[in-house]
Amino acid sequence: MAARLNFFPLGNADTLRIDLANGRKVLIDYAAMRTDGTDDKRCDLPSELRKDLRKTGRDAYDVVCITHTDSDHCKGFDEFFWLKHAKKYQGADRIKINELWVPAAAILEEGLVDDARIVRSEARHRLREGNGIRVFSRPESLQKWMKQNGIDFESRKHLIVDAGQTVPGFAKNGPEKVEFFVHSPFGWRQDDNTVIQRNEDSIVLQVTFVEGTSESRLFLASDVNHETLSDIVQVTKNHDNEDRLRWDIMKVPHHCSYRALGPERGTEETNPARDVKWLIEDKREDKAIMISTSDPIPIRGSAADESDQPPHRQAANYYRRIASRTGGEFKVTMEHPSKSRPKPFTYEITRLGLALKVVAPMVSSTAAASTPKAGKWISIVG
Amino acid sequence: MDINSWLNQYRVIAVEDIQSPAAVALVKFINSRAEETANFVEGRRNENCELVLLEVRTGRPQRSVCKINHVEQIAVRFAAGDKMPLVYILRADFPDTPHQQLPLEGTPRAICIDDRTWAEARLTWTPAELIERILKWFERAAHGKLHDARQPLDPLMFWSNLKFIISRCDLANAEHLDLVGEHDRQYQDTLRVKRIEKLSAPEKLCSSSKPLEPMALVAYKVTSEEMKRLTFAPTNLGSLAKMLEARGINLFDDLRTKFRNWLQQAEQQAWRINARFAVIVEMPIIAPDGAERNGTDLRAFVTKEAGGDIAVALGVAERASCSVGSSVGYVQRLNPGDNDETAVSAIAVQSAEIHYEFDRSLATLLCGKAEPDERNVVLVGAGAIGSHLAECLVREGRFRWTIIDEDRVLPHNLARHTARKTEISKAKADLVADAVNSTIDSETPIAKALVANVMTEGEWRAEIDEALNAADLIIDATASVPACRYLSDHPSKARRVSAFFNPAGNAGILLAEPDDRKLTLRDLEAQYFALVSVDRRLVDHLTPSENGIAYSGACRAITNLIPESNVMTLSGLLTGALGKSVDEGNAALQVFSLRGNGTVDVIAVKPSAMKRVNAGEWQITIDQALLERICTMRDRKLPNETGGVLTGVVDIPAKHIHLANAEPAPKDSRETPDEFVRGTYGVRNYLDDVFTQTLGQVRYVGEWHSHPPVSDARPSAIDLNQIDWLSSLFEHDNFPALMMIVGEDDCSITFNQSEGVFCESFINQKGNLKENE
Repeated sequence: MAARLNFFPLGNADTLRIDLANGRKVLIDYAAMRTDGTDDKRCDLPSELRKDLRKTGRDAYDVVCITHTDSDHCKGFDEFFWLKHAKKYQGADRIKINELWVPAAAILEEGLVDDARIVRSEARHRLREGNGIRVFSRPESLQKWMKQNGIDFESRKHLIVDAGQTVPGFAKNGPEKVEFFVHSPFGWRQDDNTVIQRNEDSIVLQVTFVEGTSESRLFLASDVNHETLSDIVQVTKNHDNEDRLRWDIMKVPHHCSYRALGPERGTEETNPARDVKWLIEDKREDKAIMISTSDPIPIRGSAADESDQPPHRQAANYYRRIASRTGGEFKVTMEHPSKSRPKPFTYEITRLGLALKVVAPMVSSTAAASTPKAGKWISIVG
Repeated sequence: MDINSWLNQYRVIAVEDIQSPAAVALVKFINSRAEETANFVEGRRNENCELVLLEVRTGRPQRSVCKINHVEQIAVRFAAGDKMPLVYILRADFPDTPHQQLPLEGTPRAICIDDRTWAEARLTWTPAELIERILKWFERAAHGKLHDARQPLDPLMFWSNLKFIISRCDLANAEHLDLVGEHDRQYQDTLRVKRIEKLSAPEKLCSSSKPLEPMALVAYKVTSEEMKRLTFAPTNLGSLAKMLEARGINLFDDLRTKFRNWLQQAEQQAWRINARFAVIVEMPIIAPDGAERNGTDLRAFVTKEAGGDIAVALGVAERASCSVGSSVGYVQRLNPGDNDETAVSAIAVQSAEIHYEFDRSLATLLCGKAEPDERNVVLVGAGAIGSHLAECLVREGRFRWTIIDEDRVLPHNLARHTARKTEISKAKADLVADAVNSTIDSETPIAKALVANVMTEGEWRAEIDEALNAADLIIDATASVPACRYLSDHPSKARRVSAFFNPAGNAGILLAEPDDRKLTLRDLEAQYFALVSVDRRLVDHLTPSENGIAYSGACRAITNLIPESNVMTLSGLLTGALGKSVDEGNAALQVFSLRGNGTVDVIAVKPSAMKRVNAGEWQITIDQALLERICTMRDRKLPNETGGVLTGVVDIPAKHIHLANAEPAPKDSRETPDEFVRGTYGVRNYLDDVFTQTLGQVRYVGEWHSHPPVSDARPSAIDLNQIDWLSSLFEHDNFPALMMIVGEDDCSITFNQSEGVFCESFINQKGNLKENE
């Protein structure tokens, strides 16, 4: 089975489901953004995910990675998942998490509310238990907190993954045919900053998939800005690890914000910072794909275009121009296939690189996902 | 290729104005349900067709095998009337790939997404399936999984769906033969090209059902080295010449020479210069990557004009007029001019697919065999089995046939023969030979008949012997034990096989000699009867059905009630097994039994090597498998002696006994280290049973017993008394008594016949019977 990357129209919010070659499933962020409003075009994420789990006969994710605890990356976490730390989150229909991945900030940060607080409680609980967790951090930065909380550091050290390493348990030559390389959070940022900047301390990964004899690389840059991206480029270059910045498909950072490219928005097109430009233009593979997990790109002069909030038209123009240069694609989750009716979409990792999965909707496949009941067809929800 | 000028033949229409129901359904499907696959661009129309333009998401991977974009614009064409929708790719530089149609000049590339006929495809056609097929095409193209390099013609773009049928050898000699095209009057889309001299007299009279017209053909063959894949289908003589020129053939130069010759002979062959003219081109199939694929592409380019008109356009002839007269309408120009480019381009050519007549090569190819089988075969027996076997085997392109049978068709034969009502009273051998010859197209007939009994001593003897001696293979389909044995004994060196049914007609049997004839049909027949006597699965195998019917008043004119379906099924099974066996060269003994519920039981026995023991005028044979069974029975009872009755197949005139089985000792026998006294318990029942089951072919032939450890197989004094007793028993049955003894290392057969007791021992090294030389 070929690995697949599944994107969902969720507005300015991230969820990526990776179906690995051996059927294991990794969820990068979980943001159930849809409200009940009928004109809400965002997809019903829990329903989409449940449908997929049912199809494959699973009730758990092998990995759920919360790249940082902003609401657009963990909204609804408390309603969807079966959580170890409290009975009230252990209903029968909840989805289990075999391994939870969080940045150190998700454990250390104080004053959290809502889902961010629940993620923290679950992460702290699992760290205390000593299993079902990976914390992304320089190990020493957690040492003090663990001591304060009476958790033995030495026996938990193996659960901490530092930048510049690959995540244990996944190998390119294993049945899962994948490797996760950690770019961020990296140590010297954490040393220098006493105040946690959530976006900049979020998890940034390069994921390498193997199919046949060829490799395809996914770059996941969460919500970092151009300064952090530049730091990542510099650090990686210093370690002679430039291959770790190659990519065939990139989730463009921060919902297509110009700040992820450079300091100035620009009038028609954002001018990227030198290192970011190098990452995006020089490390991209032929016909590479960029995905903006965002609302539709604003039309020039519209209210959204005037707004400070991403997505920014100028950033999108830059990405589009680069994408079109060699037959690549720039895709916006809320625009595919159309702004009026966005739908989830999937890229497949083939031996010839990434390919959009295009399937003609057939009556039979619709019927297979529905249960006939009480004489009429009711589609499965939840 | 200018996409826009092609598109501009169709005017843009509003969505609401699209009329073709299929086109409407497609647009609705894309807009309401399948936006993720494609965007609707616009509709267009001309007087015949509607186009639906779509931007399709191809799902091609980054490193697509051929240059496909992630979005491609296509046009789906819906023709007036109920026709297969065609899918064009609206990009001038879209790559050449397998599974594309060969477009006309000025037409965009069209992809083959469906290999079914529209009549079949329309039964389940939905827009979703169309889109799915388009997406699958892109997926396979992008991943390099399209393999069919053939380039079919778009049937809608040509004048008609013309089929051109010709014999392979006629095509090779087309320029020297007088050919006519025979039209199918009703559909006008089949043109069968035949030699005038091969037509029967009534056909030459141009019967009203099949109009004839003369055809002048020239054929060219493009070599592999010169072949380049076609990029468009020529539509006129000018573009045809250009296409051929690029592939090493100068059409016009060659035609000028040919037309000049024809014009010189015009007085004798006026038809040729006035005939419709066709150019036939044979080309190797080349994949888009330039690799040569198996097979050849054979195309006819047929003109509407007569050859003379083409000669005029080529500047080698003039039309006859009052000043230059000619009975053929054209005269050769004394000073040949240049080609008239305009006139040449005005001569339209219709591209037509060519079908070869069904000849040996085609038959061989179509049955999946690599090499044609041209062995000389004598088929003896052209009855139910023989006619069906020939019917199957000839369609596999097999053999040069001599068919021997003296019988003539009677009405009741039609129940299970390939003959027809009009053929009643004709010789079966002639009928089957005719059927073979009228199936396979060949310069000379591949089958001949000898209407005679294969065992005749009459006038046909010499010719039959000649045929048998010249054969590579003799197929016995006589369903007659004497004929089968006669063929087995004939001096011909050919390998023999025999195919027959059981009396009830619900089982078919194949006996095949090995290549080296170390086992003969006689041996195999004996092993077959022996098998029937011992294998419980064959109980009732030889029992005749009770519902025989008299087909005339004569007392022996009984025929069984066997349905043709059994005959066809069993003949098919036997032909398959026969074909395999004659291809491989191994001996075979197979029984196919039909069960009432449609299943077939198959017993395939590997025929055993035979030991032959000659005893005076008699020959006794025993096979390896039986010998091993006997040794095992001895070993089990050691140190006691043991024994039992022997059964065998007896051919009294041929003085031959084949041992079929040795039964274990009856339970009331006395078995001691010194002595064995065979009991009688159940012996009578067993022998009666075997006799009945085998229609008397397998019967009691004598006794066997073992000797104790360290003893040889020489008969003792007591044993010799026993053979005396046996011979008095067999005296009135006209065959000798037989006693078999198994010792420590050997066996012996003791045999009493009129000249006295005869004993032969043979070495049996732990059951390893030496094959008889």
